Amino acid sequence: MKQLSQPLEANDIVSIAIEQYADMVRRICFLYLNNPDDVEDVFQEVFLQFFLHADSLKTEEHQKAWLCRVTFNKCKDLCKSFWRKKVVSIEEIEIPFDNPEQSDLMKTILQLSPELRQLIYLHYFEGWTIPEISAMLKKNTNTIYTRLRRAKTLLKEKVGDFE
Amino acid sequence: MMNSFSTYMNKIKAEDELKAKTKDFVKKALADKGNQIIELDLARPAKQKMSAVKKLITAASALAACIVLSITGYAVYHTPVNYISVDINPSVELGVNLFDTVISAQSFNDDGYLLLKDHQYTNLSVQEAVNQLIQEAAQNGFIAENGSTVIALTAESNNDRTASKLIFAGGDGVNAALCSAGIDAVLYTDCTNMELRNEASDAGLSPGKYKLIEILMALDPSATIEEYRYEKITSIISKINDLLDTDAYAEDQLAQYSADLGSINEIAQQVQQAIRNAEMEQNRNSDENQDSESGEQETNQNQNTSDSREDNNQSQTSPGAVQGQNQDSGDTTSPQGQQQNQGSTNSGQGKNQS
Repeated sequence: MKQLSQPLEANDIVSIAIEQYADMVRRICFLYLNNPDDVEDVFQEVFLQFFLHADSLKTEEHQKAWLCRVTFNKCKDLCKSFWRKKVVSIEEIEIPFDNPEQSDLMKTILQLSPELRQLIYLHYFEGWTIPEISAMLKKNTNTIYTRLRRAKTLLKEKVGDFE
Repeated sequence: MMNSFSTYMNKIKAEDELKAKTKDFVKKALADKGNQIIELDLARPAKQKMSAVKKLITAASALAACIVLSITGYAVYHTPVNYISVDINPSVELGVNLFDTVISAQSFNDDGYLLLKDHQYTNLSVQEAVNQLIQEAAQNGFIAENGSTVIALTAESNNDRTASKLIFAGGDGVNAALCSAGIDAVLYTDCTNMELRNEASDAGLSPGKYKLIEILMALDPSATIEEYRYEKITSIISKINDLLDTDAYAEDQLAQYSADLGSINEIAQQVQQAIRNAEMEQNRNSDENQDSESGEQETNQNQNTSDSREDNNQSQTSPGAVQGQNQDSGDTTSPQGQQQNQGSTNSGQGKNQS
């Protein structure tokens, strides 16, 4: 029966996709959330939505962009929630820093607004260009440039020349 | 330094336990969807013969049930359970039912009424309704073309997830409208619960605006609701930011709003940046026009230094040359002449996009 065979195939796809994208989703959650329950909540929701929308996500690039955007939105929504407004505290981070400069940089980035954290991650870690980020977030390119410039200014004020 | 950022971020990995839990959750959720389909196929009831009376009773019961369901369904459909408000200077609140459909719209001021009259926002999704509302606001001139207008979107719900969903949908609506109108604006989002909505309603304000004024009053005890009732959101946010910069406020008064202040500061900076960008664009354009007009006047001046009066009459048809001649002996580089030219150029250049 087709219905019985589908779950078996879905199991393989589920495992493969989660293994492929889990680290990316975890990194995005790191920027916004410090509650393990919230992280688990985000993981379950975004990956379930991912598989429900799988038909429309044709290429790996498309899948990654979609998952990235949905994860950011979910994390930012949780941050904005009336009941759960917490900034990630540097003291609660368990992964050790290589040096004090790295600690200062991460602390400063985690204190930026949710939108600016997102831009820093997409541009400096994922390597996306401004037009790519603009298309992904469906925002005016000038808006992205303005925000990234502001993020750079704020980082420079706190940690000096960071590029 | 940003290599340092990448190095650190690369250390972050999803925990094995987290991945395992996620896999189990997703597989179960997908399997449940598949099982439902199987169960429905197997559970089809066997057909039985019924007496005529029984058929009549069954039909009547079914009809009665339909009527009850229709009435209940109608009531459920038309009962707002959550709300989302849009504040620019027009203040409008949209009521949303269980099915995430807008079923009511009310205004809190005359400008809001302007957006609502002669338009239908009900029976639309939140995204579509907000999209149309913002487009209407743009057409009525409530959104500055320099991108400095703040649009405040506030979800009103006692349910955290629902509030997030409303903000997400509303935000999409705002972005779609701005793209469609070809302008930019600054979006400020927030969530409130129903208790604050009731307080705001008593004050005759939308919850979004009410909360911002509350924050303002926490920073400046001399401020009142009446003073800021008719102010634009952009002005209120700028005022809050100015007060934050002075540091002349009691920290304990702001404890409940501490998470909002970062966003407000960020929004205020975006507004200032948009204004600065517009001014720079304006100055750039006025310099370019000034240069081209000076060039034109010099050309006209050269024509005027020829002998015949006819040449002078011809040059008087050019406005720049006339101004220059009227002031003194045709010296178009006099400061007064330049200022006059600049004045007329700026008025034409008032509408630049950031």
